Amino acid sequence: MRKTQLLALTALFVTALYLLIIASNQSEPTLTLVGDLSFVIVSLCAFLATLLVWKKIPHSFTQEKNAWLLTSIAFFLFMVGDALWAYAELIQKTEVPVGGLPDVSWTSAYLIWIAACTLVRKDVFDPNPRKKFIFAACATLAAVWPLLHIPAIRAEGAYHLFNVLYVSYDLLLLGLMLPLFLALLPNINRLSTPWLLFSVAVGTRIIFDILFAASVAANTYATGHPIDLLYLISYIIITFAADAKRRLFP
Amino acid sequence: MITVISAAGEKLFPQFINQLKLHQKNALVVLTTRSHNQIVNTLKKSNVNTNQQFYINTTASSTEAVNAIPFNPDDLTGLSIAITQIAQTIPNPLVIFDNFTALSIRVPDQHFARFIRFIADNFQKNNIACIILLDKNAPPTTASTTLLNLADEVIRK
Repeated sequence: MRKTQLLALTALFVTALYLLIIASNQSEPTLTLVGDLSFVIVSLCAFLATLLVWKKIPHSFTQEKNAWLLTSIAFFLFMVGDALWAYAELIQKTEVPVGGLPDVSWTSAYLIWIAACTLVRKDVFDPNPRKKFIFAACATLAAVWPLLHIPAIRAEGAYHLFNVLYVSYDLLLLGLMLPLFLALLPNINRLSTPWLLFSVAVGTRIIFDILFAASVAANTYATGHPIDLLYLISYIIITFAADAKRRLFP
Repeated sequence: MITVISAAGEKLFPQFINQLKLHQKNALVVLTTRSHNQIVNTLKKSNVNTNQQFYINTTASSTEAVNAIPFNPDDLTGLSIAITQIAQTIPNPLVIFDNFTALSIRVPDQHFARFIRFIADNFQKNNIACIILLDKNAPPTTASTTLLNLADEVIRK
């Protein structure tokens, strides 16, 4: 079995276990423990899977190799953010403030992931880059604007800026992946699978981040909330995307 | 390195088969006029092993095989991704385009010229060698002029 395949199946197994536990046990400490541990394990799987792909890409394909390296660094930082969040909740027993260390780590991860996607985009023929950029910018505004009008977010102001920014990062990522996604949609085969999965993962992240920002603002979020499942699913899809890419190599 | 073989339309297919016989290993073949099955059957008659060649099939009614992937020829972005993705998995890859003229008539000329500039740059950056077959009797277009200008070598038959 390929290492990336093993990582993808591990991520899937951990998420299935997480679902089983949260469905059968509703006590808050259990939900926090299971949720936090699942995030760290699944993000670790995503980080290792992308790192394995980076190792496999030949050196002559510098641009894409660098893109995969940046992607794995981004997922390392996502994992660090998740681990810091888990440390605060499980060891320090404190509520993690918005804008704390995990947010710094996740924000860095997003920015590096965006840089990685930009590199990938440069490696792809795009006949209409300007149109796609305008579409991405409009989509970002369209998605973020209503969030800024949620009363709780308005009242808290900059406090929730991080959560609103995550949605913008996601949309920017989707804007970068969109040309790949649209180009590959009529050609679904083993070559297009990794990029289609990446786009779907970003789409899942968008939905999660919007719901997360709204529920944090409404003060209804706690680890183990049903929306966390989307977060885990996005990591699983990334791990499967990395495996689909790794599968191309003999 | 990009090599363009410019020949009359009727000579293109024999030239193409010749190139496939010469490069039985590490070739990534982009089919634009004939299906994967037709090529495999033609090469079988000459005892050419196609197992170590990889095919991107842009012709209609094509199915996915272990070493062949169907692709929509109108989608140049997808094609550029496919070529790069497969080339990564082949040591010292050589990309061979079947009949480039046939591919060029499916998309707008300016659009195709930009695609040529892009892949030429991409091939150079990633150390991918390429052989392109061009119909010398086809009327000159921006795309064909771009290709002839970017080629490292032009062989006229």
